[in-house]
Amino acid sequence: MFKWNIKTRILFLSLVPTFTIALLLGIYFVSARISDLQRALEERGIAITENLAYASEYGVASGNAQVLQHLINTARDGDSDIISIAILDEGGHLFAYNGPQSALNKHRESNSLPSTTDVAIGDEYIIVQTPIIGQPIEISDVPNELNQFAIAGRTLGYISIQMSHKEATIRQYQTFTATFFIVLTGLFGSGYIAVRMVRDVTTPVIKMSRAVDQIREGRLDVRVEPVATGELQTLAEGINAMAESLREAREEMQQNIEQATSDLRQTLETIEVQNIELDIARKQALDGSRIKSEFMANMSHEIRTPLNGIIGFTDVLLKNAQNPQNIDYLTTIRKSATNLLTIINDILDFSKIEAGKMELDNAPLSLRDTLDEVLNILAPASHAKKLELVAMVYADVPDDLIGDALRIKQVLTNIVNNAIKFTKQGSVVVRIMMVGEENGLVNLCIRVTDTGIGISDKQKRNLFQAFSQADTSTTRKFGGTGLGLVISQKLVQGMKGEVGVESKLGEGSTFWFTVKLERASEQTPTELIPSKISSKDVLIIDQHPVTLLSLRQNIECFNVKISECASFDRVQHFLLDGSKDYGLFILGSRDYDEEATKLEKVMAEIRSQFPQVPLITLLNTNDNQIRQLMLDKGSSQCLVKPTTQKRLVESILNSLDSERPVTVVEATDDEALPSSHSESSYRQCHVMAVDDNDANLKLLTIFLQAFGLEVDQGSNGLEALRLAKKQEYSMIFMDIQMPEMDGITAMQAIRSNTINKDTPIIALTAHAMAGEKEKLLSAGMDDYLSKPITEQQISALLDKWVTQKAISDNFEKATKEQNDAANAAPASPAIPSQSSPTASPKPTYLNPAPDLVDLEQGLAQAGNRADVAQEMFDMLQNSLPDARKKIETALEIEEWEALQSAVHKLHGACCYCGVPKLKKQSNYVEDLLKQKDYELVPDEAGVLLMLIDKVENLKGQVKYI
Amino acid sequence: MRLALSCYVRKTIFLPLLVLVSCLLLPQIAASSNDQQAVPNTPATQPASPKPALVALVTHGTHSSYDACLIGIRSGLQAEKHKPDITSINLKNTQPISWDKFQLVVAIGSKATSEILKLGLDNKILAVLLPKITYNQLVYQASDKYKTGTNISAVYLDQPVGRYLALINALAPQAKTVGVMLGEGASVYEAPLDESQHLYQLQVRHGYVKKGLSPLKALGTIIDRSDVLLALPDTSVYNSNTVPGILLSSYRKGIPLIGFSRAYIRAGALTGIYTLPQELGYQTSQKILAIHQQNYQKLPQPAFPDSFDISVNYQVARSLGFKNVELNKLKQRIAEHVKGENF
Repeated sequence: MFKWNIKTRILFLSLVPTFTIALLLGIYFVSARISDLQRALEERGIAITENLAYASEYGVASGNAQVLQHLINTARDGDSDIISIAILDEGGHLFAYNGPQSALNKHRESNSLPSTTDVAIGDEYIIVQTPIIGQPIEISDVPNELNQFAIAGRTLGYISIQMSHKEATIRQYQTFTATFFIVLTGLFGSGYIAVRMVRDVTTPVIKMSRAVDQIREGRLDVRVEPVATGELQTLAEGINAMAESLREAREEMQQNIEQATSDLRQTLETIEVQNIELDIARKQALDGSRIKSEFMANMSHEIRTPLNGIIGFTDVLLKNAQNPQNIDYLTTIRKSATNLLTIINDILDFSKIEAGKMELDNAPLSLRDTLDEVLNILAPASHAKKLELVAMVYADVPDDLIGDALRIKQVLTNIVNNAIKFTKQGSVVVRIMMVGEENGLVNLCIRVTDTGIGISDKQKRNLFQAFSQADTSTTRKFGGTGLGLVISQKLVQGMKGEVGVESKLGEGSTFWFTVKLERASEQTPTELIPSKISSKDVLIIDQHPVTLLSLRQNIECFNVKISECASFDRVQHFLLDGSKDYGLFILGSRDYDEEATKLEKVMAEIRSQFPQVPLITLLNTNDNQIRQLMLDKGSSQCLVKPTTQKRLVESILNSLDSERPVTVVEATDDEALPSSHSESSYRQCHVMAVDDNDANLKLLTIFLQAFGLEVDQGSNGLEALRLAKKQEYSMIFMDIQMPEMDGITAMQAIRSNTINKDTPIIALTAHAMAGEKEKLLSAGMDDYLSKPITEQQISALLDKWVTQKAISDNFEKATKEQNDAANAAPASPAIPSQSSPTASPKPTYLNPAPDLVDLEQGLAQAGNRADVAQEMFDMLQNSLPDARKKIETALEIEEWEALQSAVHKLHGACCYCGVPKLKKQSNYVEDLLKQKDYELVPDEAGVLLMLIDKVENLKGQVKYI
Repeated sequence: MRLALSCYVRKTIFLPLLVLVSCLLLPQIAASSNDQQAVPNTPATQPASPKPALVALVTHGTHSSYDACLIGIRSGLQAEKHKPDITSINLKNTQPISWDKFQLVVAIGSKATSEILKLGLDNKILAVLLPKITYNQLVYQASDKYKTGTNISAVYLDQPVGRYLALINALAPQAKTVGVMLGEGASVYEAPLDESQHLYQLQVRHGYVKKGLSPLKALGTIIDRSDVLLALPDTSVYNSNTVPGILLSSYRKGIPLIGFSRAYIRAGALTGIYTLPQELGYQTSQKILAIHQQNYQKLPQPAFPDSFDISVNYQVARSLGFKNVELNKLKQRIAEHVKGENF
């Protein structure tokens, strides 16, 4: 259907049927009327003719032409349609005639002289002819059948009338015209009525529509005028009722909103007050935290400095001590000091983590190397307890990853160390496996399983609590702060991982943690075993099944045939197997003291049958004498358990390379001191040490001199600068925090204005806070050394920065590992001390406008914190230009709500800044606006603006400090 | 079910039987009816020692006037002891009749008379209910044996001319001239008219209607000179075709027309004098009795009706200005005038 509107529809419905009916009726009636007129003409002609026939009977019968003439004259005179009348005798001869002569022939032309009435229709006229019949009248009482003269119905003559169509045609036209005008009038009438009806319908509808639109726009006071009737009126009343309901609802809602707004405003005011109070409290808390951190840093600094001295000088004494008792005492002192340093490091780590300042490094790392390093460090402890320490890294674990190796090492060390610590006998197995990989992150699970004392379920719940161990007696028995696991947990969580423990009391424990690490883009190519032993048989002999498995895993990827022998007694059986073509023997011992005899026997068997095949022995000891004995007995290589894939492969390669020297690869002992390596290496070097602490300066000097270096000493930056101007040094060790001139300033001065522009300057600091190192490096320092300083650290630095050629590989490696281990804990950031004094200085007031600013009030509102009060005041002043602009704009256009909002904000800002006048005036203006008392507002707002100007003009003049 | 069956039996058996019986009986009933009409009143089979005389009352077709005439005849004979047996015969319906048995044949109406004369019967014939002029023309056209007047006689329907004039005199005493149109039988009326006009002090204007011409033309010649127009039963002048014109002409001229029958008076004549068929029948019965008494040897002379009657068309009377026309007085005056006349 067409998309017509109501108007079109009504017009269509009223006009089209009306028009159609009128047209049809018009056509019908006009045609009927025309036909009627024609027929009426004919009938009238017939009637006239027949009547004339009756009337002329006498005249014709009597031959009285005069009578007939009179008759037809009379007949024609009364009728304008009659053109002519002719009376003919029975022979068709003219008897009488009335009409124009021209028409006379028409009667004769058509004189077929009918026996009954006949009508001949022409174009312009019709001719009606009827016979004149004599009607007999019975005049005898008796029948007279013999009367020959009585001829019934004898035709006496004919009447012929010529009638014109003109009148009929005129009347037809008149009929047509009249009908046309009647139809037209009817149409106009119905159209007018339809339009009126349309107007009656559409006008109210349009009005209602407009009213609804206005109502929709929110003008709820609009009503529909009562212009309609019937249903439309009902609809209009309904709309009015709806609008009224909406208006009432809106008013009610408005009231509710105003009420709610008022409540909200009050709540906001309360919240603002609370916010300000909270802000003050937060600042106090931050201050407290900062003070705590500073205290911790300072304490760390203060404690590390003497510890540095204690450990350093103990090491110096130990080098020179000859008396075993003294050595024992000194060793105890060093161990105690080291433990104390460890505890301090733990506490520092924990505090950093708690403060959320622990930042993890993202650098390429080798997980196997990391594990190797950890196990190497911890191997002596396991050896001491005769524990089997096994590392199993599954083949699918990628080696090249990105993460914080130091922190992984720290966690691993902590857990493995705990495992060793709490295991009397048995084994500690470290497994690293890949759980999955998603979004480029490799999810690794590291499980450390021991056969130790185990943990009960109840103990597990407190295991990851700070300062707690499984048992309070544990601390006494095994030592430790109880922070290790908590720190590990936090670190692992930092690496998007989890920590857990599976354990039963007395049945050992499995501590596990997961980490998610990114893959490094570049893969390190794996060193391949030469084809010499590929596709040959390798016999692995070890009585510890897990170790056996671990060894197998380490070499099975190199395309060799592996045979495992879990008992020394069965070695001979394998050796005698002719089907084997052995290319390598790996012989592991769990406890050399117990298995020495069997081990030597097995070695002898191997060597007797396979004298040339490489034999690698793995021992559970660091005793070089024993390892040397193994080499003497025929071992190609002698490794210390636990061995890793890298070391094993390296060892195999060495064994196969006949030119390579037979070596004893041993694990690094963190206790091991640097041997008195070649002092002559640095004999030509001249270095400067700068520290304000005499002890530290002295220790540093001793350490450096131990390397054969020539050392100049400086107690502060100025002295350093002075020295630097005189002498060119190979290296400068610069303390940071010094009187007169700090290390940074001195460094910058040296770099800019001395001959030591290019000399490496190493920063020395006891601040172990995060970011300290980066801060120093970005300031221009070449490297960074955290106190306490060790010889290893110095050695590494010297190696790095001072040109020297001959440093043995072993020493280098040992030094590096020591340096890394030392860096694992104390690499903590520090808070610059100069920027944060430990206590607020006493306030010094400056108030040029006491009438406007109440300093005491401001101080009280800021919790007697002068710095806070100052900050609040400064904030207020900074906000004043914006507030003034808003108030002026709102005042100008009389936008009272915006003005109220701006004044309210200003009032809130004034509450804690010690500006009573401004606060009072803003409060007053706000009250006026709330009460909608707009008359007074412009004047009072003017006063407020004036006060704002005054306070704004005090910028920089009011001082709390 | 039973009712429907009985209805079916009734329809299929009794209805055909009923139709069959009806078909058989109806022709017999019709035949008996015809016999009664055709057979003479006195049954032929009835033995009678002297053979009664037999008179045939013959009509041609049926007409109320014939019936009235027959009633008049029968009523006139009914009271008489010595009377002939009469038989009604309708020539239009009956089979050939043996006329010999009839001593007298009474022909009622001009058609019956004409047919009887055509038969050339030897029986005595009495013609009734026909104008004198018609009787004369029939006899003239008939066999010579009728021209002697011994075998045939008549009782005329029309009145003697004097009665018409008497009527005119009685109705319009001031009338002086009487227009009369005469046709082919003008001779029948000319002499009586001439004789009577003096008697009634009237002057008759004759208008002759030539054969084949409209009588209105003749009328035109006399109407303007006549006070009263008299119509006579000459069918060559006054017939049903000419009468309308004559009536209209006389009406237009305001000339009263005196007719000769009740029908003429109803058609537009002012008044007329006539005899009713029943009375004429009665007069005929008296004639029959007289003939019977003379044993059918001699027939009386033809005669005009003894009695007459007068009617007035009061509508025409009012139109023509005749007021207070009283029939009884007219009758009385006519009766006084016509005593002893026999024209």
